[in-house]
Amino acid sequence: MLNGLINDLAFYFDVGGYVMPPLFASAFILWFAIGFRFAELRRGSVRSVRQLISRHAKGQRHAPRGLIDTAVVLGLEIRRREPPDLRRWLDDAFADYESATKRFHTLILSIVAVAPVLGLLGTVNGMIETFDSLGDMSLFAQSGGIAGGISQALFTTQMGLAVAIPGLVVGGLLDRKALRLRQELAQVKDLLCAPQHDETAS
Amino acid sequence: MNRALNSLLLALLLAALVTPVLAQDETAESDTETPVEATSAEPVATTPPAQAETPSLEQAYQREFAFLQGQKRDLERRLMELRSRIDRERGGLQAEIRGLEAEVVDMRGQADRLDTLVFESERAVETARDNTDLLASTFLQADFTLGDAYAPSHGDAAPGTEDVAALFDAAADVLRDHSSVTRSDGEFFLAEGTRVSGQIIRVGQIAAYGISPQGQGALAPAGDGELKLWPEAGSAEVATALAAGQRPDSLAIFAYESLANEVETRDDKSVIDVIRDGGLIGWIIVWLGVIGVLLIVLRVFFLQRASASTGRIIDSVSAHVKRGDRDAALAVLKKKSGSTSRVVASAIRNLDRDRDHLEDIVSESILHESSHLNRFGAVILVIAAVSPLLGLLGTVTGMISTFDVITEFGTGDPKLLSGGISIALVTTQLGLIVAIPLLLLGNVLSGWAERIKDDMEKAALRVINQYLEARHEKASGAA
Repeated sequence: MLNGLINDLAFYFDVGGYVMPPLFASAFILWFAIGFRFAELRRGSVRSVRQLISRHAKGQRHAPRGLIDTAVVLGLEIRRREPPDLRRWLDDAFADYESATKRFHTLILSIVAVAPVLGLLGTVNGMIETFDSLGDMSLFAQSGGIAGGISQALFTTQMGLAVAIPGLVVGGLLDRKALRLRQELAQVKDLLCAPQHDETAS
Repeated sequence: MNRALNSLLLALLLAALVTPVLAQDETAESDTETPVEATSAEPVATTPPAQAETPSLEQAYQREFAFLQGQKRDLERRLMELRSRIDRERGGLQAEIRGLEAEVVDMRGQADRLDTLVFESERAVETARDNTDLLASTFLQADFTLGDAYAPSHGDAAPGTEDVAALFDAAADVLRDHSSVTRSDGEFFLAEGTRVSGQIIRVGQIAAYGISPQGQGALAPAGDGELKLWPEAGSAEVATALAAGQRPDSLAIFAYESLANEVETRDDKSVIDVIRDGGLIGWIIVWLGVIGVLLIVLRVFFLQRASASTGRIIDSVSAHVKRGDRDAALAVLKKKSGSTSRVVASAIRNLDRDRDHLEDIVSESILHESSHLNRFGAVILVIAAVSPLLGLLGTVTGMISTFDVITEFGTGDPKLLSGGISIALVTTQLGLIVAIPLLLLGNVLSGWAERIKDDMEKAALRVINQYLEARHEKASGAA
């Protein structure tokens, strides 16, 4: 099973030419980044931001599990110290969370953009191989040849798309999640800066 | 008729009764005589002399009666005869009809059988014609594919059994020939083009090895049935091993289809050769790529300098800031380089101003720094976007010139067409090779620059917060 998989991979490497190592590497980095981002973008509790703040303010606390949870705990702590300009302090404190929601965003986008182009490069290489073989009459022989060239051409395009499409889909989902988290952080700031009596009333 | 006769008889009897006196004895005579004399008129003829004097009506009637009686009997007899003859003839004819009908049925059955026979024989003729065609095409094919090993001898006549046998024998010979390794003396070309004589080992019809004092190895077609040495790694050992009758473990081989066309050695092109194939556009793309790489290196250098660790800067400054010792903080920052420290320094210098002004000043200095941070970013991405398009342009230009050549010289030589296309594709390849790293690195560096800007903002904000908090605490402590 594992042996067969390794053989398959070796075959793909062999067929695709020099485009394959970068493609495999970018697929690996892409999925690493996606996994990292997925772990980073955990919201924590499923409750709404208002509920979270009122519960924590009343002292019903448990260990924070995700990004919004921790942000609420930290924000309440800052408010308790009553600094002169609360919103600026919250801006400062939440900047780390906001940069966390942006981490690897560009990398994922870049890899998704580059992988099909890498596939295209492999395709062009395959076409060159094919036409060269047509030119010097080595139709089926030796290494490559017409069939080899066409196989490389199709295979690398396929590989490039196989890397890019899941990255595009999952990356898009994660981006949407990150946007929602940033909006909720802004909501936490607004709620914490709002006059005290509104919150106790709720 | 009988009835008429009876009525006539009755009338005669009445007449006789009316005259009983006239001839008492004669009635007795005529009573006895009538049945006897009815057949002939003799008694009439004999009696006239006796009765001439009395030719009575009765006698005439009797004579007439006898005559008619005779006639009647005669007619009845003939009727009987006719009737029996008709019966006989009818029986004969009916028997004849039955015989003929049986004959018709018989004939019809025979006709059906004959029809079936005709159909079957037509089909047989059809099949035979098909088989003949098949056989003829088989022979044609054999003549064509077996080449020198077989020549059909039957001419235009249909091939016989012995012809078929000869054909199969020849085919078996050729097969044996093609599936065996044969050795023969012959001549082949060395790699540099000199013709040498030596031993040629043929592996069927698909590969050959040559051994000569000057060189040995796998042979490739050189056109017109000639062979030339093919630079295949390890093939020299295989050739010598085969010549010595050993069986090598692996067969370094050049497999060919036919000896008719020459196979050219594909010389390994150097990078410069490839670029030269691309022509002017190829060179433009390469130079763009070089410029792009230079810009990336420069940009990495700039960003490296700009991105000092935010955390370390704040740690080194915060103690001074909390004490309100701005000069000491500025002195610490002066020793550090980087955009972040410059932004923080400008914030510290203006800490006494009110908050809105301070934030304007900080955002202005971030804008000032971001012109450094964004330097070359757009250029790199433009190069990444333009180089594949340039490559496409080069390919289209190459295609156009290829087809120009074809309109001039025709499509006789596939080398012309495919070689031209292969060279035309080189510029696309170069364009993509340049574009991919520039696209990837350009995007990643832009992300880095954005992160640095966020960091600067954050650092300035933190320094201001710390200072204001310290002052607030001091003020509340003093109060």
